[in-house]
Amino acid sequence: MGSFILRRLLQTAAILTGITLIVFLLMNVASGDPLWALLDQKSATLDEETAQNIRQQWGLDQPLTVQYLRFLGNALKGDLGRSFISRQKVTQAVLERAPATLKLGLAALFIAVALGLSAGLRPRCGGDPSGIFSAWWWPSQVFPSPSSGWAFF
Amino acid sequence: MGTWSKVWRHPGMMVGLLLVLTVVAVALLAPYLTSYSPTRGDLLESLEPPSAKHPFGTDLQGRDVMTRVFYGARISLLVGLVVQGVALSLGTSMGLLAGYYRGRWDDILTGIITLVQSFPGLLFAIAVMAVLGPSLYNVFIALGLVSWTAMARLVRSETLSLRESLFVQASKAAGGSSFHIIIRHILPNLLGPLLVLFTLGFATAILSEASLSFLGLGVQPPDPSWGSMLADGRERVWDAPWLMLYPGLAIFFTILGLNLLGDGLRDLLDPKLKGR
Amino acid sequence: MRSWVYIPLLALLLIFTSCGTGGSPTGGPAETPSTGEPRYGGTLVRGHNYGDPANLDPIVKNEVAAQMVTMNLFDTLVHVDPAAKEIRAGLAESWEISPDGLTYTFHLREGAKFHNGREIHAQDIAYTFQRLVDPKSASPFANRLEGVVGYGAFRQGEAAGLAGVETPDDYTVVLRLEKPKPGLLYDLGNPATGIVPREEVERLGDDFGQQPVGSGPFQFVSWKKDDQIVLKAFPDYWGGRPYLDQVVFRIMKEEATRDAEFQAGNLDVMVIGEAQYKRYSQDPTCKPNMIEVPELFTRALHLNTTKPPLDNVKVRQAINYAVDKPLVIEKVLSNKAYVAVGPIPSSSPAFNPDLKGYGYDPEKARQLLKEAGLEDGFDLEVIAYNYWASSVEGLMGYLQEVGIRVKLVQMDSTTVFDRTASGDFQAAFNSYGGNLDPVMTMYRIFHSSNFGRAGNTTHYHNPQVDALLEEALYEMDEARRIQLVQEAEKIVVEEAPWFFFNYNKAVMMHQPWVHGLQPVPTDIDYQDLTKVWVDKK
Repeated sequence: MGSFILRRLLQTAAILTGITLIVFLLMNVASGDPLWALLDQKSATLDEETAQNIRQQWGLDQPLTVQYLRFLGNALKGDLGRSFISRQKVTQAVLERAPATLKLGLAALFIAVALGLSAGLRPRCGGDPSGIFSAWWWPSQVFPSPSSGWAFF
Repeated sequence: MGTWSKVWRHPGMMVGLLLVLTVVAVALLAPYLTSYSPTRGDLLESLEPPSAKHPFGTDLQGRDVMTRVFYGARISLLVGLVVQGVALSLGTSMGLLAGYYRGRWDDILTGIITLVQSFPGLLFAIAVMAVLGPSLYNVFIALGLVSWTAMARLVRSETLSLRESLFVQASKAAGGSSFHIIIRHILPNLLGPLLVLFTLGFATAILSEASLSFLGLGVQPPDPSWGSMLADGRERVWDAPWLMLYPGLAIFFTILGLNLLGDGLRDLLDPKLKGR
Repeated sequence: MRSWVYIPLLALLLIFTSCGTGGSPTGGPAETPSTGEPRYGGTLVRGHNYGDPANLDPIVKNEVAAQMVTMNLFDTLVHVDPAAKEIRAGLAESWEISPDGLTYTFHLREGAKFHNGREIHAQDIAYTFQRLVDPKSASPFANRLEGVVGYGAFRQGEAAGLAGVETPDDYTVVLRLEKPKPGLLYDLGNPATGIVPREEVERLGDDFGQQPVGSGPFQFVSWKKDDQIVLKAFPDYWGGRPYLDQVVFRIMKEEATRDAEFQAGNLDVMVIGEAQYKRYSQDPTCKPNMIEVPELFTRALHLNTTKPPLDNVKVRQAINYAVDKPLVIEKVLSNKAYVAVGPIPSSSPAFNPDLKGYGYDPEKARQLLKEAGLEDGFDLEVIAYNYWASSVEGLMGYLQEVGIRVKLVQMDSTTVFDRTASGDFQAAFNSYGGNLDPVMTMYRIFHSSNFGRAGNTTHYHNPQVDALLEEALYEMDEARRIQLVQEAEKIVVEEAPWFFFNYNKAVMMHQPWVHGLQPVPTDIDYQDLTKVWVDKK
């Protein structure tokens, strides 16, 4: 039993690390230079000296591996760092927005469960148990859909 | 024969089949159904309301909306087919590997599935698109990569229970190879649930393409897709509601058709209902 | 994603409701008798189009999203009046510029206060400028003070401070420059140089941008992320308290949401887009509550002059001749734009009304392509972020007509900027501008020292243009500067590194009870709210 729990925990840790790595890589490859986020879209110009200064201050001039390991090390200590743009603590920024997202998610879940249950529990000929299944199938379909809310986490 | 008579007696499924066949026909016959170009318009005819000349009206660039809805069906169907094809092959093979061989295979594959599923699907697809760049082929890849996990999970759990079943054990005892067992005994039993998941996933893929197009990541203008047509029309719902109405209806009826078809298939292929 | 199925139903619903209301925007009383006499009190609710500004520290971000808020919170040494195109007194009551243009002496007004009640002294100006330039601040706007004595040394870490800022007494600030910088006062009027109180910055640290404290006419009250920012009048403002009690910025990215809220009377002011413009400008009851201004933005197709066949000036000219700009602007942009002749827009002090641009002449375009050896046309890949997709689509048909086969590739804005900065593109559609100083604008985008990220994305290089712009950069006489920049513009237009498309027409809708809004050309969202008042009960 103990070894089973340990194995599960190890697996979870591996998955969590995998998620951070994938997100980190995707963010680096997918979105362009983060410096643009500080500038207005309609007059986005920056001379090299200024750009280099900002990169240095945020450690963006370091190789990706160093950046990632630094993030991982701090994250293990419970420090998710500060946002590049708002300069707030990331944990605080997440908490600030959590209520709205949870409200949306829970409302969607509630509606989905209510609809799903009422639809699924309608007595079918032969008492098909798949009604219960569909009641939980729906929320699982619906819950990730407020994706814009998750997206900006 | 018996199956066909059941189809007849399932009106929902009939309607679904009819809707899906109509969309397929429109997609294939688009060039014969309309004489306008889906990509080139006349600016002087910009934003005309529906008329005899343009039954669904024209868009901002003066293109015939009906023509674009017809040609858009090709893209939507293509996305659904290819994405679900990718999901089906990837999901089935991964699920079989995990469920049949268990042990280390199962640990690793379940880990990967959990990993992929822990991202919101569309967000993951958007990130993949951003890496690959916007194009139709990349839509296939991005959506395929996020939609195989549900099938893999289903196949895995079904296989886990099937491999313990009497007929598999018997075949094993008779010296059947793993390959033989998977092809002859396990796969046929998965066909029903997979077909259902395929049709339902087909609908999801169409909607996902619409979402990606909505964000400018799908099919590139001026090629029409239902999703990009909705996105273009969004700002003008008040002045030119036909821009959103017709592609919206097309999506609505296609998804409805696919869902009805999927539901019908489920009823038809559900072994628990077979004996009735 | 399931909610997609409701879209057609929603659309159906909208058809019926829109006929019912007839699109009348006034939720309140139709007639508001106005005495024309400004009144104190009331709240102004503004629609904020650009998404949450994330940070209100003036040295971190100065995009429209942040600056339309921070310009009310932070006061500057001088005020730039973009509508009148003149510079006025701000925290500095007066100033002198030495004849050689190298020394600026500012005399601060006495009694001006920060929102925390403390009086502003010369040391605060010095602190603010140090902080802006300090490499540790990592500000993208540090270069606003480039040219001040000791700038380079401080940036390179060779000096502990900015040597060129001196405070001989509590109310005098002296700024010494290495070279004349005629555009300096424009920079000192920009919110990026807004004066900050040292004790608050040090108390709040990195959170200063979340609870900003300045000395502007309004002070910060609250901020609910992605929802709204509330400011209230600062009673001790040196210019007297503003008329409004309170200003609320409601963050609403969706045009349809803003529209509905405006029609319900819950929004007092909003900037509108092309689709709304078409509807509102056709409604005679809306027209009087609409403010229009040609903004200082030029929308253009930037043509990479290093990539064949675009390295051939004839090909670039052909693109400029190929499009019927007025018709595209009328149909695709609902006339919410002005036809562009060159890079300098019509609201700029340097606009040249005599400049002849390119008319619609497909024959000539074909002829030019033939001369360039491209009878069979060529393929042109255009990159743009999705906001510009319909504009590019509008051009496509015309370019196709003369044989230029356009392929549009949409990407997110940062990727577009990455590609244009690195020169990895053929053509990119973009809008550029916002700077009231025409010399700075032209210098950044067409001078050969600014290739890539610094602004000259097309790698345009002409020694004559370089020389003209360099001369203009250090010329103190305003009329001569404008003359120089116009000469440079003439050459640029002739050589066409851009397809000059249009200048934005910015349009703001307000409720009948709102008064005192201005047609601001730098960005219509940059409203001086000290002049605005409301007479709603």
